[in-house]
Amino acid sequence: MNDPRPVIETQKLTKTYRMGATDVFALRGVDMRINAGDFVALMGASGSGKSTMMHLLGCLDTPTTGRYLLEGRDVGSLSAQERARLRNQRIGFVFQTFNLLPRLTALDNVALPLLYRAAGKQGNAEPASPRKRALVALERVGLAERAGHRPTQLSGGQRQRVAIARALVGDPALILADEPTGNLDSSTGGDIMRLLAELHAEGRTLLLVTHDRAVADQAEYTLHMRDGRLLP
Amino acid sequence: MTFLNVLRTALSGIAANKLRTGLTMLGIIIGVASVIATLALGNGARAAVENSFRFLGSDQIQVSGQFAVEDGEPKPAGKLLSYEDGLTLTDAAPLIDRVEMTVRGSGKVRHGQTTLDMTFTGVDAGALTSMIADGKVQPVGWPAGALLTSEAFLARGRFFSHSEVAAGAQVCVLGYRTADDLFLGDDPIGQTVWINRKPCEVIGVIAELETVDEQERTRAKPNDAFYLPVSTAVQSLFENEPWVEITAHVTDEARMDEAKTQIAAHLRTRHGIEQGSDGKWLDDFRLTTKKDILGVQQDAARTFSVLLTALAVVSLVVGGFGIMNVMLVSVTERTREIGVRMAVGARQQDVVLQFLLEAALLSLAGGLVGILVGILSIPLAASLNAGLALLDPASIPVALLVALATGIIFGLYPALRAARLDPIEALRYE
Ligand SMILES: Nc1ncnc2c1ncn2[C@@H]1O[C@H](COP(=O)(O)OP(=O)(O)OP(=O)(O)O)[C@@H](O)[C@H]1O
Ligand SMILES: [Mg+2]
Repeated sequence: MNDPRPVIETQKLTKTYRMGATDVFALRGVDMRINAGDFVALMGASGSGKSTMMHLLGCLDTPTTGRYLLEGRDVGSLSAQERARLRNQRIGFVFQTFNLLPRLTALDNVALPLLYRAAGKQGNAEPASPRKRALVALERVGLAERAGHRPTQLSGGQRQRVAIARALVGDPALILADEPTGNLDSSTGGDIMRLLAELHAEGRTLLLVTHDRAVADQAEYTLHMRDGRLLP
Repeated sequence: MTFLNVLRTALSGIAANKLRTGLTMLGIIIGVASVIATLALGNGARAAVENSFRFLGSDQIQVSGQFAVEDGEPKPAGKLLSYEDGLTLTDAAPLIDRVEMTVRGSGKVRHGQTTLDMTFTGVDAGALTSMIADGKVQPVGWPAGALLTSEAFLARGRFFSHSEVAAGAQVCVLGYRTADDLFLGDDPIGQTVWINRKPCEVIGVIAELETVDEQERTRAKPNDAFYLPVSTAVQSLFENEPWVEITAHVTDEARMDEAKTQIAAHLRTRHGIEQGSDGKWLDDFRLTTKKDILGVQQDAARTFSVLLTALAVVSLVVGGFGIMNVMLVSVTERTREIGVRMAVGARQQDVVLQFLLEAALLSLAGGLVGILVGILSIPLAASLNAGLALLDPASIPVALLVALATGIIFGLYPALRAARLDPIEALRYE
């Protein structure tokens, strides 16, 4: 692989929160580059800005200053609608708290991103129905037989696997996981990490936040943050 | 997101809060029911007029005399409306192309040994057609809804021709029972009967008739009748000049008021009517159109309608704010859900659509119940408005539209609030 294509490229990314009279500098200029097919762990002390960074990379939030190129496109110049489209099609986000919709079945939760796609716009690239594709994604995480269950009828590890299936279903360029094992015991967390490692082996690009060195060791390499900066 | 999916999402949102949504729908229900009742009142008044004045076409003006009641007897207020008044009308009023006149009197009708005291009617050649168009009577046993023809209305012979009416021919047409009473089963056609000592030849017998309205059948006597040409009746059957009823046909329905002015001018000249001290004409006649009657009826319904409309508006606004409240609570309760949906790619318009549709479904459900309540309340509205209220079929789509509009207008603010949520804040919401 000569000069691999970057999926993520940030230049002097900053994020400042205004809290009354004082400013909280959550990010103080982050230059990050992650290539296609990478499996990267992001570590750092609590409050060092990891989640803030993930939200910016996931197009869920906008930086105060700096540039963010996702697959070469400058996200800062995009409208809210175009950013929603990126979240929908190019990014799969896995949360620490799963964030499944309690009233939907596992299958419907997984299918949710596909429902927000303009039907037929992709032409023949979209042959299967959302539910069929959702079932394939649930199979991929080993939960096909739980398709009709609601989140409350599933264990923590199963919920996180449903959430990962939801992140996968749209075939994104990038999977972002913010402490995906943070709410799970170590053996369940291990299952989740094995699943993520498999996804990497299939060629997916993953960025994962963790406090657990053992978890980080499963990634190809680890980035460290401290006080809003990326350590060299 | 496809419409079906939006619908499914919205429906499940409503189902989650059945009691609360039911209560807030109350305003919409009352509002929509009032809309239905209001329109039923207007429609009832219109239908009543249509029914009782069916014979008065919308291109016709009825000219009648004014009467004052003195000592319990009606006395003409001025000059009588005469046959001459009617005859000269077509020439004097350019917008009038034809008049029909009717005159009524009582007399003794004799044939052979039999003498009957009865009311006779002087009519025009078109009277039979008018009677059919009026639709109050039909040949006995006539199948409901079947088209009536003048042939079906005649048992024997024929009705008057225009030339017979113009010439004042000594001819007559008998009602079914009158013919039976006078001729005891013999064929009356070509025979001579005597009315007030004047001879006239029977040229036709009307078929045996019954009123269309079954309740009227015991009272009405449509088969006791004696018709003559109006000219014949006026010229030879009265000692004093009789008063006539005139129906004037206007050439242009759009110019009814102008036609009325022309008729009034003609009659004022002929009757020598003057203006009173206040500049008003002291007319001894009255001009009536279908629109006039409708106006009077609708005025009566209007006061009540205004009240109902006010009730409709107030309840719809109350219901609207109820929906707004439910939706605001729903948006707050589902903040995290909105965050999740945004995180997986819902655009602002997707969120707006979801909550707007939810509000619309709420109000539409209220609207449907309201329509039912409205229809059931029509008898009540009728009892408060002299029995005049009739469901207007067009009011159902109108009511649904009103309900839908209420839901969308009052659902807009909560929906926009949901769409303006920040994804991160929404995801963090507890
Ligand atoms: N919405 C906000 N308003 C104000 N300050 C914020 C907000 N979000 C984050 N911060 C601050 O920004 C800094 C970085 O927060 P962030 O959540 O990115 O840390 P983290 O590295 O993810 O921590 P942890 O490991 O505990 O999850 C913290 O000081 C935090 O208090
Ligand atoms: Mg964090």
